[in-house]
Amino acid sequence: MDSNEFIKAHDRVKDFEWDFSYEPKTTRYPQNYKIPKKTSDPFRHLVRDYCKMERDKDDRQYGAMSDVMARAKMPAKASERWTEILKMALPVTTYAEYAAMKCTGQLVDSVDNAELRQGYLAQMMDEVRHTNQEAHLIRYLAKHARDPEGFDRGFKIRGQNMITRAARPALDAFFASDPIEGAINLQVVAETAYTNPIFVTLTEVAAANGDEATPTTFLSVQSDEARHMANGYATLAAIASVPDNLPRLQRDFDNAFWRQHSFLDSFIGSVYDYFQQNRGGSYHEAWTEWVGNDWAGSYIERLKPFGVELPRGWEEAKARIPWGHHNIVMMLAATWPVQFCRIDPLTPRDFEWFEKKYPGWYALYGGFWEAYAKMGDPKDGQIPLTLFPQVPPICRVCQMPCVFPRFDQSTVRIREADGRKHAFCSDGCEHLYALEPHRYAKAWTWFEQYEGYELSQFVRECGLIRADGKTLIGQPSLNWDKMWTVDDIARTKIEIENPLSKLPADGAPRLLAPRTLQ
Amino acid sequence: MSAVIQRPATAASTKPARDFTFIQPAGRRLTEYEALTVHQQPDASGYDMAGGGRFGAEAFLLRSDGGPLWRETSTRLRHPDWYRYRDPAQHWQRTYIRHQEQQETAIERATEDAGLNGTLAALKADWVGQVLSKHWRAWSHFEYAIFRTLCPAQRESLSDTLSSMLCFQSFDHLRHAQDVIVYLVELERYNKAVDDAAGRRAWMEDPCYQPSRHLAEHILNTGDWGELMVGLNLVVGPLLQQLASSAIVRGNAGANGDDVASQIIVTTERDRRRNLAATEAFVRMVTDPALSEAGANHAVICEWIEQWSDYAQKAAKALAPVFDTVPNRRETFDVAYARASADMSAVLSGLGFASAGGT
Repeated sequence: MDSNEFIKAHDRVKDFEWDFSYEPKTTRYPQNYKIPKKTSDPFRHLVRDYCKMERDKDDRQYGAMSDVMARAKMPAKASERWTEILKMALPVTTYAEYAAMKCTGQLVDSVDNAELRQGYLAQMMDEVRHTNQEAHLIRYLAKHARDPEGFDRGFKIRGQNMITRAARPALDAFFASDPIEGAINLQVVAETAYTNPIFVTLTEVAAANGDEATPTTFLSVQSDEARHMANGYATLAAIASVPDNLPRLQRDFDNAFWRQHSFLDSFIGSVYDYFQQNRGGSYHEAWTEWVGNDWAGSYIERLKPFGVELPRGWEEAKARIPWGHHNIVMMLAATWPVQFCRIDPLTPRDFEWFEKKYPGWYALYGGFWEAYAKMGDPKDGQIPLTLFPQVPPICRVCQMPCVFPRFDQSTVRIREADGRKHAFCSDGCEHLYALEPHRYAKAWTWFEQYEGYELSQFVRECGLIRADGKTLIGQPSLNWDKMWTVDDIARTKIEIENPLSKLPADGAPRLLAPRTLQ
Repeated sequence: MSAVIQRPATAASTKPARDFTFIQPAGRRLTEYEALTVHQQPDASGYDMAGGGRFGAEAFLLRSDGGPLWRETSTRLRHPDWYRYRDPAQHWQRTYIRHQEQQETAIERATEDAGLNGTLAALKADWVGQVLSKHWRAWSHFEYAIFRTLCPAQRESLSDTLSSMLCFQSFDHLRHAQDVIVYLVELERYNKAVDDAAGRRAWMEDPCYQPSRHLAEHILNTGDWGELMVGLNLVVGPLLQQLASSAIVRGNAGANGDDVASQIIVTTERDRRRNLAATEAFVRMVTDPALSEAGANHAVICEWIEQWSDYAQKAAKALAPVFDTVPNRRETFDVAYARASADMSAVLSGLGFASAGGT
């Protein structure tokens, strides 16, 4: 087929729609936007080309993983510190792909524009691809990594884990409402702003730490993401071209940005900065390049002529970036028995790196990590959670601990509404709740769900015990000789309490910092 | 609610299982398809909360209307555990795309060869004009409608194994629709009898296609994903698609020297068999006598079969005049229709259902 024939074929495949004659057309999803019938086409492939392109990519990726990488036992040679966090990170990224598949299914059905639909349909198949690729990566690591426990059941545990469950409110937003609102969450914010830091920059960290399986998978994923970004831009440009859409668009854009930022920045930043062994750049640097400069400075800037402004909450988010994730990792480490990976203590070399990348870091967090390193021996029976005179509550909206922008400067606020007491981590999350409180009617925080559980009971019931029937998956070090068992945890007699219960019903409490910080 | 899956490591084994431990395989061993598909979709009714929790099932972000992300009422069928469904083809993305790439490569080569060896130029004008440009091109709209409707069906379906199967079937039909267009574009280079606009005109105006268009609009309006699986794969596929695609085009392609059309439809028939098998497995699952909901499900499916048969039979019978336009016709409409009806009856009776509405 020559290029003229290709153009002809491509024009014709966009001309399948017709006006209904025999039944009134029904709408499955509420549609709050006016979409022009004709726009630019972000996807210029036919099914035939798509199948060839994806098969080639699949063969390269799966071939490499099953052949030389497996024979060379490369996953077992990767940095253990790095490999461990993949147990928690990959089930989250896999769900992002699955949620994206759901989003594009809605879009194909409801966006009445043949050009945009072309892009969405291929993206739907891409997302099935990515879901399978990342599940394959987890299974591959269960087979080949030094410590498989955690990889073998991450999909089961992710919904009950204090941190990974916080992915749900952000990623569910891809398909929980108006399809365009979902597309703004997925394509305009999550994919365009955040897939580069995840699938490009994070792979550099992985490779520097001896992990070739993750880059092999992620870079293959990212090769599809450029098309998805084009889908996002085409969608946004189409909506913005209709002036009536602008107020709604700016509102949805504002909300989508905050929803995605509130989880993704803490999540990616934690994985990025705290689990590198061979250290390179920082998340703050990666964020500044990809999100600050590329996304906000270039991509969103191009939409200004349409009337689209930087999202509400942009400045607050920027202020949270240098510090937010440090507090989340501190919470992660303090509660290591309920996590499903081993968390390596930081070393003086790490301290130097953090101080260089985040000046002032040691004064804020060094004490905690010094104490954490001394609490690894089960004989001593000390869990870092006890360092906290006051555990922060969890935000009703983003489900993250209310520790932003810094533990000692938390913007947490407590409110009573709709018959319940809520903590909100920020103005952004309180704003989201105020807009649509009914959408959180069945959202419980981790502390509310498990209040009253003994830590050892939670560990047992959530399947956090290894094949020997006693040793925990989560550990406070990589030391195989000092592994904690569920009996060690039971001896601590720690019971999960809901910190919200003790906080005043209305106000902005000042959280007490961990003792090591005083 | 899914049962809590215990890890397979036996009491005697303290070695970690180097595989996923959270999936109950349908067979003796976990297949690659199962490992990469099952439990990707959070189960609002319990799987993710199997460790307990004071409030049990939860929803982090409800839909704008306050409904859950996945609604049990998205189909009238009921089952206690939709995650038990397994696609008999065991396709995950890589195997599916490889399969379709092979089919597309075969079509592409057949087309290239037929162009270069003079076959395409030699096709008679009435075959190209009446059958390919008009009938088959009109029919591509029907295939497109199925693609469209299965996209939201996968969104709403209640487990990952159902979603992936529906995604793949959706893609099948887009491929079928596009293959007609691509073939006609390539044929235009060699044969002046191609009239691409004829198909669109027929689809919109020709009385032969209006019952099919009515059915296509009904398909696009159907929100129940279980109903779509049953209606499309147990009724529309065996009866209407077999008649419109297999009997009219593939059945007469050989007699008209058109190897490419035949090649394309052979691949769509392969997809259709796969989707039929997937639906048969689905229907057997929801009508399993051990299931308390089996009787109610059986009644719902009977109702659907009756309703969809009515649409499909009307659409099929309206195609009778098309048979008279086919050059070198191999069989009459009555013969083809009787065979398609018998095929549909065999499919339905194999699952314990009677055909509806007679022939």
